[in-house]
Amino acid sequence: MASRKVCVIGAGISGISVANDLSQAGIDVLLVDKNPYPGGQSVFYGCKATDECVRCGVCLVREAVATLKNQSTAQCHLSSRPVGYRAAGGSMELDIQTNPNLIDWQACVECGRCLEVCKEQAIERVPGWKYFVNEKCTACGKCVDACPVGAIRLNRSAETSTMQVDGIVLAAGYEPFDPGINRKWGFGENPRVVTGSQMENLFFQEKYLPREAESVAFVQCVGSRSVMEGEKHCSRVCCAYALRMAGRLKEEFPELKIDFYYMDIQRFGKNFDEFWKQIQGKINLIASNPISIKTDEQGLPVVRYESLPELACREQSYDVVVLSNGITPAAESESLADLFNLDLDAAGFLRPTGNGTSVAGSRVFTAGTCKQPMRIDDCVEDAATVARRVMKNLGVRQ
Amino acid sequence: MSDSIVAVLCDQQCSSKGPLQAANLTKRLAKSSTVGKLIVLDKACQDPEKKLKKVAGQKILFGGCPYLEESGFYSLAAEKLGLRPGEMLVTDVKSSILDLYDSSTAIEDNLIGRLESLGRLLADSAGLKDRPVKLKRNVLIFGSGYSGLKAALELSGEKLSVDLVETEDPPLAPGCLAEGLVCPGLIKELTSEVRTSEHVAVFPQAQMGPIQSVEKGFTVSFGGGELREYGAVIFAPERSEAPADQIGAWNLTQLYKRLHERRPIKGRIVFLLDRRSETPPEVIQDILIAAKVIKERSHAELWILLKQMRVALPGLQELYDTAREMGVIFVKYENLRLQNEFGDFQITGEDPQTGASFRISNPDRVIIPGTSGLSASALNAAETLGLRLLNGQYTQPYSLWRLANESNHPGVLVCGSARGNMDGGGVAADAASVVQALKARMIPEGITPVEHIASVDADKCVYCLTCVRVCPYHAMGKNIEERVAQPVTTACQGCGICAAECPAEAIDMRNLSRETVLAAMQAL
Amino acid sequence: MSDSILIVHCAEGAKKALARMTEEGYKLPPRFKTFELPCTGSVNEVLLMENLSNGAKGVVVLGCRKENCKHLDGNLKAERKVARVKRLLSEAGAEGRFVEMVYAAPDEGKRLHETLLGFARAGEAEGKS
Repeated sequence: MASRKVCVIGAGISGISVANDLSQAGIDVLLVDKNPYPGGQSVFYGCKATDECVRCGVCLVREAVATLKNQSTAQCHLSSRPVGYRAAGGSMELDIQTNPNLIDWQACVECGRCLEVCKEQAIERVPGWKYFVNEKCTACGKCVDACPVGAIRLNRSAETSTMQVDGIVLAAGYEPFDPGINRKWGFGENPRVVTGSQMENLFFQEKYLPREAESVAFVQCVGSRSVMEGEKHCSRVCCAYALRMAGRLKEEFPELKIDFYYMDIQRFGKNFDEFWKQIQGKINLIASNPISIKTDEQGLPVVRYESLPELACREQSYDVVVLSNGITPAAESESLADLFNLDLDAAGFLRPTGNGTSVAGSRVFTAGTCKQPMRIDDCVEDAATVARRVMKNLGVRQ
Repeated sequence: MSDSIVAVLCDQQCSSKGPLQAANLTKRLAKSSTVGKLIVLDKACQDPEKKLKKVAGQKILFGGCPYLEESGFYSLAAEKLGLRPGEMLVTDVKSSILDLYDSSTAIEDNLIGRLESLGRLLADSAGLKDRPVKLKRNVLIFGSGYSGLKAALELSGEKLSVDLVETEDPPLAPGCLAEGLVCPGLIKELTSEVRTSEHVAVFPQAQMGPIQSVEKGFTVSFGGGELREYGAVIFAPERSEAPADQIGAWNLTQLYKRLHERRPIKGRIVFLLDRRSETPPEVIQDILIAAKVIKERSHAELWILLKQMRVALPGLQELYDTAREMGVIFVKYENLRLQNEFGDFQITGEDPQTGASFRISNPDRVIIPGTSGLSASALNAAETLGLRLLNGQYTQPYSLWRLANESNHPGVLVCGSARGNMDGGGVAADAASVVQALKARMIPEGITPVEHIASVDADKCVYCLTCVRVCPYHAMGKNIEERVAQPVTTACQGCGICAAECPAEAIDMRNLSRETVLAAMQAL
Repeated sequence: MSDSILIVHCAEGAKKALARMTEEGYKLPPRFKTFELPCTGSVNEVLLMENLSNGAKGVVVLGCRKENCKHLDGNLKAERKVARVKRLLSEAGAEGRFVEMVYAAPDEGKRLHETLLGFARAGEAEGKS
């Protein structure tokens, strides 16, 4: 029997996990991602372990990328997007458009010479992966000459290729909510107001906070559960990451004062009761959603909130304010829904039907945060289910 | 010369153009007693296979970057040279020597030391002829509720025969109760499908004998009959809900029973959540769906008292909003007091968000969700399977190494509500992922024992069974006739904890005995 | 007595932590040697003591963080043994030798590097006194 081909669109933790599972079963997998590197967003997130692993799952993402690089037979088409789709009868045809400037990751030996000669700082390295060319590239060609194995290719225009596939998995990921659209959050006006995603990147670089920081505020439900901002759903991940971050920060800076502004705390993990007990001693819980975040004369962010139950307006300044921004549908959700003729649910996520396929009878599946907010461990579990459903649908047995 | 080892370095930095001089290394190694020859495979080498073939028949110590190990280069080389476990050793010299130290003298010194030390280990190890052990293509599913039935059906059509053990748990666990209301005949349908399937045989739990783990998996006898063998066990009992802890109150199971039977529920109904333990979001989903149904049928006055709103499931926030629109009254409470004096029942408390106090008088029915847990017989079965309980309610360790369905015992998978509170969709998804996990375990070619599995010296063993107790994988078996411990080779993962804990020093890891490890450390 | 410090680490998380450390460019002084075992749980007191009596200045047992051990609780068992050896050392008069348990998550680079360098510095201070 000819081997089956499946295209996985999106190489974040979900896409990579599904690709690894499917390729282990002998399926030909084509992994497509708009970025020049795999790993999506969470590959740049940081470990939050204190003396105990808090199971944030970030190390799993780098594991998955390493497995993809070293063991998996999945073919990666990076800097690529789907631009056309035709399904007729039982066959599916997909057009993939690939960006012109590329480093062929399979040929690259990580010698580093391209990094040395590039004056524009257009070549970067992803942890666990190889090098990639970012948007600063001016196509001057110095790196092409410097590369000893000829792994760099610079073309003038994008290329499109067509492929026949037996199944498609959409793992397009999510868009972190941008607090800049609402002035009340003070984002973009004060550099000391950062989003949860930015904080994750700081954790990854092991930088955490400015040296003299004495107080931090975490603000939950930024862009979630809010009718005004048009995002009514709960993003599921923010309580988990913010509390874990708070725990790590308290360990790194024991004198730090941490205020936690919340509406409701969502549980996570199997030992939540113990976790909650020990974290309560480290943070100051304030059950209130801030009204606004402004800047005072010293340039520090000031949180203005309604203190319950007296309903009095209070103000408090901090060295850093972390806005725990939520998960909103992927930027490409609408165009993907158009392309593959799928439904979006009320919140804008790609809605799967009962058994995980997106349109009844089709072979288009959805995985990961493009269908609903998920934590990293949820994504890995979901990927196993999706892989199984794909294999069952394609009639692949072992 | 067959006593000495060949060291093969596969990193560019070791080549003649690199910072280390291969000639230097060879000179220094010439004085070594363990490493006899040094081969460098760098980019200049055109035909690595030819170079390696020259040393066929000798033990090989490979050193290179971790990428080579992960990409299977060494296993491929081993295959081509016919090397068995115990005849080769692989070490990461890139991140642990070449990149770790600054000066080339430090690198050279440490590289030589490392090669000699590991050469010593390799010289003392015996080659192995391990043949993969094929597991039986049978699966035992413990649990006949929604989770067990779903798992059985997912497995049908997979060329595996399934034995299902019928337990006495309720068919739907808290979290899934709404599923039975939304699809009324669900459990009946699934049960009849399973019973009529030719791949599934159903046995009552009363007939089940003890589960033993053996070399090829597990064995059980039913009704004292012949021993049936399995390659894997799926542990899928349903959680059941504890009764409500207030006289006259219902728990959710009782409420749902009345809803199924379409008995009238009207008047003033109060749901009391979060009193003894927090309510998980799946159970809140059950409550909100029940509240909606009650409102639709009888327009009762419905109160839901809770401490935190759990909304982290898709669609849950909308359910709250719909319920509110239908007139359900949500109150967050603090300082709750229930007073029942001479038939006058008062519920009082304070709302922390407004500071106002509230009072609910003489509700017609109080519904208190009970904590959900596994039954005593399920916990018993878990113990015989060697599953380590977490917090008394989870049968899997809370660890990133064991996401989804794996437990600490290789070959035992956990599925469904036994893993935690799940809703209907979650159980269906879990049944699918357990089949994935099963396939990863029951590989058709069989399971090759890990290289460093435990080996017990029968003369020294005093049968204290410390090793059986400490093994994290439940992989140490007891040989009752000879009164020694015996590792199960398909379950042992070679961690060496038993070797460290044995008071009689009777256990060693294969190819990593105490003496050789010490000698190897000395050489560094 | 040499001044080498032996790092006995597990083949799972601790190995990844060391790899991450070198990937990020953090180097260790040459007196640190590394030795890999399947799990730190397979370390026993005899191993630690023998290494110290054979001339190592110190032994660092590098394991995974709590709840991160692939073999469930090998790291906790290692901690127990390290504690016992520490007690023996302090009773017997250590002469500047030490044995320590260090936990690392697979993603730590800087943190691990600082902890390990700390041992080198402490060792030097002792040696001088």
